[in-house]
Amino acid sequence: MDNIDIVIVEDNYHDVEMVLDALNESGIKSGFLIFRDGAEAVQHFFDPEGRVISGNLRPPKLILLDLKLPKINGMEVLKLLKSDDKTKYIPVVVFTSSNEARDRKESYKLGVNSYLVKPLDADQFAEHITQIINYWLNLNINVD
Amino acid sequence: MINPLPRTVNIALLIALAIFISASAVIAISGFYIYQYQKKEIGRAASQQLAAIAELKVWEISNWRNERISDANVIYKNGSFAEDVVKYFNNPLSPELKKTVLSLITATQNSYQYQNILLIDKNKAVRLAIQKHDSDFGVRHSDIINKAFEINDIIVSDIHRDERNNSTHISVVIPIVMIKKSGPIPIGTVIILVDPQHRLYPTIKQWPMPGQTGEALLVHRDGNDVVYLNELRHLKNIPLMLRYPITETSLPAVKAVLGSKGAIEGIDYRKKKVFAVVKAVPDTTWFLVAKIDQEEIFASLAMRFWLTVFFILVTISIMGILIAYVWRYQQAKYYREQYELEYKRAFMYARSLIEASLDPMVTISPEGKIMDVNESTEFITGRSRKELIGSNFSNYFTEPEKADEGYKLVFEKGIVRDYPLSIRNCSGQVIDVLYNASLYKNDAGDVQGIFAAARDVTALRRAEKELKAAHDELELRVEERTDELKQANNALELEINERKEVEKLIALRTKLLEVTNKELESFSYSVSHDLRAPLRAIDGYSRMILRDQRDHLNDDAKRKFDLIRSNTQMMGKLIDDLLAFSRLGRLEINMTRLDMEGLVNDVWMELQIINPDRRIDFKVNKVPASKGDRTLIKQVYSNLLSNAVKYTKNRDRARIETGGYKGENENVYYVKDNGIGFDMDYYDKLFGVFQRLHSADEYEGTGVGLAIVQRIIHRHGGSVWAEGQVEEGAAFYFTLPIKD
Repeated sequence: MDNIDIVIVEDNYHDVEMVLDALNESGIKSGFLIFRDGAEAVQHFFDPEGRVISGNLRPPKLILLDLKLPKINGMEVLKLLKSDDKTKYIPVVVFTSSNEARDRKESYKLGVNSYLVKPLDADQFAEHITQIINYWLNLNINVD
Repeated sequence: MINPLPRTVNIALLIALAIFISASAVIAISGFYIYQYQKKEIGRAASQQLAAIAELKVWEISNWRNERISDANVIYKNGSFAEDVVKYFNNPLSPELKKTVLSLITATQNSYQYQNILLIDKNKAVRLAIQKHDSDFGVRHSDIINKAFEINDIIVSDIHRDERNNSTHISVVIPIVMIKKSGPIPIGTVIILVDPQHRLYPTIKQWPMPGQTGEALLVHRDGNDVVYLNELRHLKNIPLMLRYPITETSLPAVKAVLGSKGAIEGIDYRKKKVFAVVKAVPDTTWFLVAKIDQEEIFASLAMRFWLTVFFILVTISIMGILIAYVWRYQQAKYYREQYELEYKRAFMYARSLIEASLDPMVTISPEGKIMDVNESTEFITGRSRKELIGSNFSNYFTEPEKADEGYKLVFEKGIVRDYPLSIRNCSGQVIDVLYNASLYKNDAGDVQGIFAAARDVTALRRAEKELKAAHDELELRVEERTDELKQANNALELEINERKEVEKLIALRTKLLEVTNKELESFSYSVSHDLRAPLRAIDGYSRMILRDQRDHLNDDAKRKFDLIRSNTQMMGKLIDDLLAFSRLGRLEINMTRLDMEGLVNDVWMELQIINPDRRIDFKVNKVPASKGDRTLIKQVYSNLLSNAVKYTKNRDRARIETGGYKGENENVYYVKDNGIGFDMDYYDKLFGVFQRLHSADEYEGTGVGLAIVQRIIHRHGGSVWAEGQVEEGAAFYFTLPIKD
């Protein structure tokens, strides 16, 4: 548990499998955690009073967030993460099938770090997800 | 209210001020001139005095000098003296001869205390002297001795110094000659040494007037210097040693040697301003300067100056006080008159108010006697003022005891309000009144009596009765009207309810429309997300199988998996197009001016990039500018031109032509090609959604392009149509309305 690089919040199991397959294919080694809805993700980062559960855990290097999620939707999760000083520096990549202008605008307003539309083409899907994860895990230099 | 001072008073004040200022100025100016005149007079008097003194001094000096010459003449004019001297010189050891010579010299010496008298022979040797002397005395005097023989007369030398003993002398040189037929023969010289300290300097120094600074100087010019010959009064000097260059022209002494005469002003050796009078001493090179400090002269003037100033100030002050006093008196008088006038007016005003009041008012003494009444009291009681004043106030009421009680109540409480009483007037008539009364005190706070004012309420009571009757009637009428109103109201309510129903219906429909719109939106959102997700999975797993099971699949299976994948992509494209099409119906249109020619060229550039290996003759004719939504119209051209490109792909010489023209109410635009065209029999299907006239294998596409074109143009208020012939090409037209 103490070696979490990526937190994936995604309700579609097929998409998760495709992400993991792409990672495996490209040889990127990383620890990851998967939440199947927004509520699970929120409970991981915040206690019932809304305070950040800091503990001794190192924050993940990347949160891969779908927007259309059961219980608490992705936009709400993004809002919570970006409005707390302790979590707002964690890079969040929205990974969604929506290319609606409204969703893009709202995500960037809340402070999303990247916005990626899930390609329908499986080759592109694998390539894009590999690139974005590689970028945030290996190329980008975060605050700490 | 006191009136402010009238204008005339202000003007009077201005005149008084003007008189005061001008009088002050006249006094001050005349004071100044008097002072100037006095100063001048004093200066003149001082100069006259100095002139007199100078005159006196010069006279004394000349006198003194003449005396010395007379003394010398006794020797010079003595005919036998020369012979005695010759004899003595020839026989110097004879005591008789010496005695003879000495007797005259001694006699001279005795007439004045000369410093020394010496007899000198032709060889400048001293042969006889009364006092001690230097051996070279004769030699040192040889110049003046020679001169005396030359002119054959007595010479009185200038004052000169003997540096050896620091003494000052005047030498009187007497030539001794024998008169012979051949001419005078020089024998010797008698020199009388005169000490100026004796008599001469004291004479100069002595000042005939009392004073601190008066002084006489004796000066002469020596080259470019002026030399002070005597001892000074204010500076310890050695005569002949003090000298100033003649460039210092402010010095009276310099002025004197430069030729000034009479009264002058200057600055003396002490740097003090002085008055001076210069006078030359006759027969000498000397000048006498009599001078006195201006400060001393004007000392008395300073006193007079302050006296004058004091006098002026006192005069001005007295005048000012006088004017101010008169002014104040005038002002006080004015304000007193004004106040009295005002007081009278205020009194009259208050009295008229009291008299004008319709309420009867009385003042009652502590003893219950009426002290004052107004006209209303006379009127209500029917009795004269004369009769009322001094009588008992309670006499005029129907219940005198109750009146007394009320009266006492005023003393207890200080004030009584609306105390009901009834007055009986002289003719027996009873009038209902309400009394208001309060204590009346003097300045010291002692009770003097009470003020009481009654109000006749007879009319009020009558009015109350009338009012009640009117009110009752009114109430009746209001009831009637209310009934009528109620009926009208009911009718109105009915109508309002009907209208409300209609409004509700409209609101419901609007709401329904909103809901539908929202549903439509969420529908397309779901379509884009949820329809795509399984496709993504299908493609994803197909890809994994193709990758992971490559070795276990035969070529046919691989081909089929590839078909699965390409169909998935096709399905995605269909979904996108459908979504785009459905959105068009709801999109807002942003109308702007469009440069259609530029738009066509932009689209064509993009198409060339997408189809790099196509060779097409593309011709843009005149395209009129129009109004429309830039993005949507661009989409129209994009769809039409890409169709044209697509359907000419089998032509050796593909030709596409675009252009437009102005109609009456609309602009017409067209895109023509020489592609495969279409059969006009199927024209109906041309603009339908997902409708195709060619197989997807031959010509890729979803069949939405033209439907989109039609929808965009319709939304702009225009129309679309097409002309075609199989294998001959197609022409698509659309119009955009010309709006103001």
